[in-house]
Amino acid sequence: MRRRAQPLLGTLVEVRAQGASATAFDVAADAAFDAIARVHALMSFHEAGSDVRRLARARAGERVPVHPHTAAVLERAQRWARASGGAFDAGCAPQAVAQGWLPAPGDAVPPGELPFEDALEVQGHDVLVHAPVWLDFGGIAKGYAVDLAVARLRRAGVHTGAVNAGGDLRVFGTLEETVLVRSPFDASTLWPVAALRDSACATSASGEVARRVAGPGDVPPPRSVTVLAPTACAADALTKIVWQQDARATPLLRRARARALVVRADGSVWQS
Amino acid sequence: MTSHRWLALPLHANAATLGALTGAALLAASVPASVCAATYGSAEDVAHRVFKSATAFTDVLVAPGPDEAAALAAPGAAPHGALRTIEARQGDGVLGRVIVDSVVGKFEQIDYAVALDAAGKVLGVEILAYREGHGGEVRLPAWRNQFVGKTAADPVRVGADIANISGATLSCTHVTDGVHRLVAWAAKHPIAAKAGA
Repeated sequence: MRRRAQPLLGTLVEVRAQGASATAFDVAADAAFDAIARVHALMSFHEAGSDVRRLARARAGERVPVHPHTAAVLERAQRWARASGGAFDAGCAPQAVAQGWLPAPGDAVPPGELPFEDALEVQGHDVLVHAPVWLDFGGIAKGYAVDLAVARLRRAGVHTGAVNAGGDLRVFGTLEETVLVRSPFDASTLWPVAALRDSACATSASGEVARRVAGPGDVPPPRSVTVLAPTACAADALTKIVWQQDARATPLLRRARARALVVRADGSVWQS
Repeated sequence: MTSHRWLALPLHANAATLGALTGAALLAASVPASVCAATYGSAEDVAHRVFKSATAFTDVLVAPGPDEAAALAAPGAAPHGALRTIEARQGDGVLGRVIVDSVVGKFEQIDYAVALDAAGKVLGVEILAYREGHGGEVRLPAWRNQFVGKTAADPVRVGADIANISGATLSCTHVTDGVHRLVAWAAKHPIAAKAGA
């Protein structure tokens, strides 16, 4: 198994391949890392030149040309928003700015009240802005980037491998991998929870894990949501939906050929 | 063919319904991850990958002066030791260099390499190794020392590979900060025209 890692998407992104020569793997991994860096540059709320920030500067009635990746992520985000009755909300950047998680964009148009799935309309390579929106693709872009990296690896001739962006994981080819989920009660404890083959997994967690990152202070009670799905993008988006809907997300999970594992603050567990 | 399944765990006692398994019961079924670690490659690998047209690579160890050692260190950390660099040349021309560094977070240590062109522009950042321990352990110098000088060939006791850990969002902020410090240092220390000069 060959492996490389780079710091991208604010986390450590690892690319692995089996059965590829060293040279072939290097070329394939470079393509995968480049694709992930591209997604990051297009969809970062931090970078003023990103598509997301250009959209945040647009007024109602404006038409904003965006990269096909941005249009693709926006369309997927809107599908998840509609399928979940709004539980998936990529228009949540204003709240994140208010909380101090994202920097206040001085150049942006104040966001409107319309949900992002209604406020923006993808038309080819343009986004028609019906109302100003501040997008936060934090709940979906990482998964999309992982899927894109897998596509790049495959195109470069890698048949079996895996891409992991800080826990958004996809394995492809003949590899079967055990996924370990970090306990929300104790960050040093890992649970082997699932076996993946040509499939993806994502986890959203709080509690001990959040505390590790955030330091002491007000943090939510320990909790973790893991979703197994055919693509990393779906797994990523579904963790946010299950986070809010818990077992009520069962029909949506079933339609998406996905499964969820919720470990709740009281230690109870739900699996679909 | 997509396939995924839950593993047989005590969790499955309650798989179909809302289970009432306690956190303690879950912990009993868990794997203690005393150390998560992964080794990716060497600085030489990075140098050869980035500077494909190089005809010569020279290892140069640079001891920073007291002020520079402080500037190279993370805020609050001990002054930086000697910097390991690999200079890449093609004939008489300087192509650039790779600088090796290590950052220690609250729970993890990340070894990484930055490739810079002759003008000091970042060509790439590659993680060489990642190691994580218990919060308490990783802060102890002894924990760090056990890895000093280790290579991919050395056996490191590994509780779990980071590859398959979900729910472990590893922050690379320390690496980004480290890269900025190295770039600032490199701008003040251009590569000598001749190797070893």
